[in-house]
Amino acid sequence: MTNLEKYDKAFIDAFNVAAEDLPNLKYQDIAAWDSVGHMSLMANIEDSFDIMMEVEDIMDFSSYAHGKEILKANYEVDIEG
Amino acid sequence: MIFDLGKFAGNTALIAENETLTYEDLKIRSEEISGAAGGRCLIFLFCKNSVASVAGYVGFMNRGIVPLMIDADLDLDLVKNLLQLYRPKYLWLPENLRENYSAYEKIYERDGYNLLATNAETFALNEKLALLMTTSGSTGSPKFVRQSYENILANTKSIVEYLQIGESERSITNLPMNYVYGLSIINTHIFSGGSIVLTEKTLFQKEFWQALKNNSVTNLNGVPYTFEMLQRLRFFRMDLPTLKFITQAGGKLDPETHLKLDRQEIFCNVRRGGGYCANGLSACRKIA
Repeated sequence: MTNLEKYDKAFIDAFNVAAEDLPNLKYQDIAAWDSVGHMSLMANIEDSFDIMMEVEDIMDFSSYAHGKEILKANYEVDIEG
Repeated sequence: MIFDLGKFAGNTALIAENETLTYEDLKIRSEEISGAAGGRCLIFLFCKNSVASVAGYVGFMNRGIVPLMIDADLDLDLVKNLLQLYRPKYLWLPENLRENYSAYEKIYERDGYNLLATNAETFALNEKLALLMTTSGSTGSPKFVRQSYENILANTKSIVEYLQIGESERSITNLPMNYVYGLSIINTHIFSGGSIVLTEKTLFQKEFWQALKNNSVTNLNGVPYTFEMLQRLRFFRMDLPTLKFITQAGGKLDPETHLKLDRQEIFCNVRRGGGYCANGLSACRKIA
């Protein structure tokens, strides 16, 4: 699996959303991405990329798009590459 | 009357992002809102952690108007089903939901909320009935629990006494008010002259923690899952000097969390052994 596929799968598994809805997805946009959903998403991402997320990043992780930037900047995980 | 607002007139009651209400303000606001609905009837209260929602609730309770508490984000089809089943006289809801109920007449508005008249043929209400709420929070289950005035007062008093909630106590809304324990926080604080910071932000947003710190919140309340989130956020390492106690509804704190609290020597049980009262409430208080 590519990083993008892993990243998408983390969202799809956590929220049961369609892949085409991901690019514009933001925290609390959908019922599934509430604080409980956020816990699952963070766990999925940590498992997929074998990283430990910092608290600041967990709180900053406000959208699908911004999450990519966080992973690239702070965890050396390049989703688009 | 459930809430004696006049007794605490000068105290701060509600702190929202853009405004702060004293008890005097809350009295005026809540009476104005409930006055628009007139006398005893059933009303659907679309809950948010906002001034309009809380002031509406307080006013309805004091005027003998029975709110059926639903999540403002509840699915429209589920709400329509409930409307058919319960036939409320009014809806008190955020303005942005108004378009979903265009057949109903808007008779009043305040703080981003509208009061809509359904003109439905309503049912007679038992005189003891105070409010209706789900036990399951945000699901659309049509089965609502009935709470009497007597029951709410007894519950509120027992928690106030157990947690020693007084005028200096200040909480923050991290649970929805359509959820039993979320509403209990509002009841206990407004009953005793304390204050509540109103926010729609969650534990996973910086703004929540800023609001907690900036407003010197003294207590935090949650459900078991809240504590998993707090662990994830390394709550036990946060510097929150004004926080005096934390509570959890739905049984005892799990042993691991409890151990952590003890080990940090930050919090200890209010009561030795068990430390939870009849409401399934578990509480920890700061030692120092």
